[in-house]
Amino acid sequence: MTAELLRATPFHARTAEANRLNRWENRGGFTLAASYADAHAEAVAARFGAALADVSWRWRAAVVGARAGEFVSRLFTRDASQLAPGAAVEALWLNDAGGVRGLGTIVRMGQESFLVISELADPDWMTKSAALYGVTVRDVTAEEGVLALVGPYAGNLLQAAGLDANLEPRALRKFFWKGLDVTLSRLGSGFELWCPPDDALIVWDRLVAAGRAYALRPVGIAAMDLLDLESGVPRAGRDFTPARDGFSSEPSPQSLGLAGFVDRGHAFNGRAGHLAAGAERNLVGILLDSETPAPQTALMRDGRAVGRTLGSLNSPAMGRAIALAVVDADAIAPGTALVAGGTAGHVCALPFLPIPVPIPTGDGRSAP
Amino acid sequence: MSGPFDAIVVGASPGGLVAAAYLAQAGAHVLVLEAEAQIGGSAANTRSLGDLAVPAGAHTLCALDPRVVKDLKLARRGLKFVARDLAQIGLRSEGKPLALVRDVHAASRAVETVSARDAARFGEFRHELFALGRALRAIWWDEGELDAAAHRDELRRLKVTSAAAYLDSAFESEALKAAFAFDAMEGGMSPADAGSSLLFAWRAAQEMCGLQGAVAVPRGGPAALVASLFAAAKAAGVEIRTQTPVASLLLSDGAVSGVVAGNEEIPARVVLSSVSRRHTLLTLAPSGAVGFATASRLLERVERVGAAKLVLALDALPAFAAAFPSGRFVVAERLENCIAAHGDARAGRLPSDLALEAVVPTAFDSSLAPGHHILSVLIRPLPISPAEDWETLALRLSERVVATLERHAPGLPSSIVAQNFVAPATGGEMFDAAHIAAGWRERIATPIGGLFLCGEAAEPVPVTSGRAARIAAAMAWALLKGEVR
Repeated sequence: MTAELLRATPFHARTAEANRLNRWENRGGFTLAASYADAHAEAVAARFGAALADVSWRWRAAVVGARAGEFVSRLFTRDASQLAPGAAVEALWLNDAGGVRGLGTIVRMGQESFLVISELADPDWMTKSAALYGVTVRDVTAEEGVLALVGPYAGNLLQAAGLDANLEPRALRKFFWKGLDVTLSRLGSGFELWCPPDDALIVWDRLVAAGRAYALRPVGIAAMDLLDLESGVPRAGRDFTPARDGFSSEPSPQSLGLAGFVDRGHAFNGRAGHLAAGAERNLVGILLDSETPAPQTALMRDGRAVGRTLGSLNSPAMGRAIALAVVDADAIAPGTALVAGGTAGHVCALPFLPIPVPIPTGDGRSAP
Repeated sequence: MSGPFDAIVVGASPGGLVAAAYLAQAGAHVLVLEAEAQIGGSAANTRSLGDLAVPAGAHTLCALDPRVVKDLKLARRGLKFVARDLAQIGLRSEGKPLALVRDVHAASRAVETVSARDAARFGEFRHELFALGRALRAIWWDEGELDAAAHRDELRRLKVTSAAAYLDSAFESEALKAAFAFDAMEGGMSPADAGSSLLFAWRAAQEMCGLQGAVAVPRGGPAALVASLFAAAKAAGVEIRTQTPVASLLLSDGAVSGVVAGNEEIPARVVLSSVSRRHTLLTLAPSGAVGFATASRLLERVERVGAAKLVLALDALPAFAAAFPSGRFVVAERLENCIAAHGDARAGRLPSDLALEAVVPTAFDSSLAPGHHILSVLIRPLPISPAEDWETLALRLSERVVATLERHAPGLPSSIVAQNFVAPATGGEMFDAAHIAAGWRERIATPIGGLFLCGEAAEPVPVTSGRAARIAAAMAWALLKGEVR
């Protein structure tokens, strides 16, 4: 992306108020609180209570046109054109040679419109390829503010705030919420609440008010990154550098352990290259005995390289450094001892920790 | 005889006919589909000139593959050359024309009139260029490799050398350099483009009528080539349908499985296209059949500079052709002007300086237009999509070209009986040095299995040659025989 002005999210007035320590970070061109207090405490809170995070920075693009279905079907490694309105799927998009350009969620908004959500923008690729189908791709990131509600009590909190939280995972629904038009979705580990920028502060205040009973706390992106990693979800930009050229076959989905996001029978861009790419490597977790290794550190087993690390962080919930890694098939067994750049560690199954999914509401359990 | 077909060829241009004939000779059942009523593409006599008909493309041949001539027995099927070696003659605004004939001593003597230093170098220049051209036949005549390190180094050097720099390092005389200006703009290239010097080496690698780097004209013009190719294709059992435009390609599992033409689905295991790469991959193939990056690149790389053709029917032989009947006459001012002109053309403007190549085929082929003469002039560099449309520009440009030629042929305007202007062809893809130096497979094969290009789009330089068609046919045949997947 070209250097552009740092923008404020629609929730900035509230996040600035809460961000007493003035810890800010630039994500996707937006100013975001890195953490409000202690990132580790925030990550732990999100596992046991409820947490509120501003995720308005995530790149969102509307794909609209008579042939939008045909286009998204060809663009992504899973057939998003088969989705029912309001349903979502996670998939990769590849270049011509089968190199991974991105990883994102595709939501069907209507008969001829889709929404692509990704942590890493790829507007040029999508705009140019959409033009081949007479379809438009428009960056709508700034048109709505998005708050993520994570934690076991996120559902109860929404229920208490007057929103019907009975939403299945990977779905999106529009609501008329006490005078406001909002969208509720479950695309990640918790809920996301979408609203027009003008309503953003009201939405924040309502959630904070309803959240008092659930010890809701705002959390920064550091804590959200940690939750992501602990959940074993690979992210473009953090865990791998996507192919930025239209014709390079690296990184292949196999080399990143992302082949699970690919429907091999589906006809997508770069399929021939993907099918021809080498043996599949596997995405695993590594528990490390000391500090975090740099990304792409070789993983050695008995003096032989068996894989590479991806992103890594110190997990307070686990009390140690953890890393995502891709390894050969013979090193996937949990407990396999490996060495990452001088640091000993061993393989563990993903996710590292259970994903903090909301407790289903309406089953008799209530607030603590 | 009709279907089922092993191979379908899209377009009955010379390339399409060569590919069809080769495949049929090998034993395949081949169908050629041509959109127009007349076969031959730009080599067919489709343009009217008074009572005569002339082709829309070049009047001369400079790169016809000798192996195609031999394998398809074209000489026995009526392809006879009336001019075997048209001399390159630079017409100058003052002074004697610069006749760069094959005899190096005669050519040096002509160069002597503009520069003694260049005259001394001319022999060596041609010797080196021809030696390199012969070596480069390994990559331009077949899927070979250069064996000598010196030639590989020279090829690498030319890939980044512009035609202007190449000529500047060889010669000092502007008149001499200008005589090469027309050839330096083949395929819409600018003489300032990196790698445009390869055009000279490519020309030197060609062989017509057994003569290296020669330009030849068949009796009856390029249409005679089409006729002989048609005879060869027919003799091999090729079925040709005219007025049958191909609407789209049929694909199954990423590979071609036939074509749709005239509401009819015609299955075939391989398809060879002699039309442009862009038309084949973006219009004929369904969206998404080629990768997004490939498709975007094809869309972006639109050819913007091309050549037009002005054909005049005359009742008198122009003076310059009377002096040298077998010549191709180049009119260009200075090489620098051509570079600036190319910039103008790229921006959509009609350049003030143009390079012309004039040929008078009737000077050596009296059968062509009894009682008349034909003056065929190619004009470069011109905008393909000018700001004003070609309808209005054609007249202005024609007058300018006639006025320019009148300086070398007094009385030319009054001898004109008919004229026809052919605007630059649209729809081609940008042509560059990478394309000239690429391997044959890279130019011929497409991302779609079983689909090959066999026309000018697959040639190193977009001219009538038949070489890409011959190699494409071999690739398609290997696929049909199951030798490659």
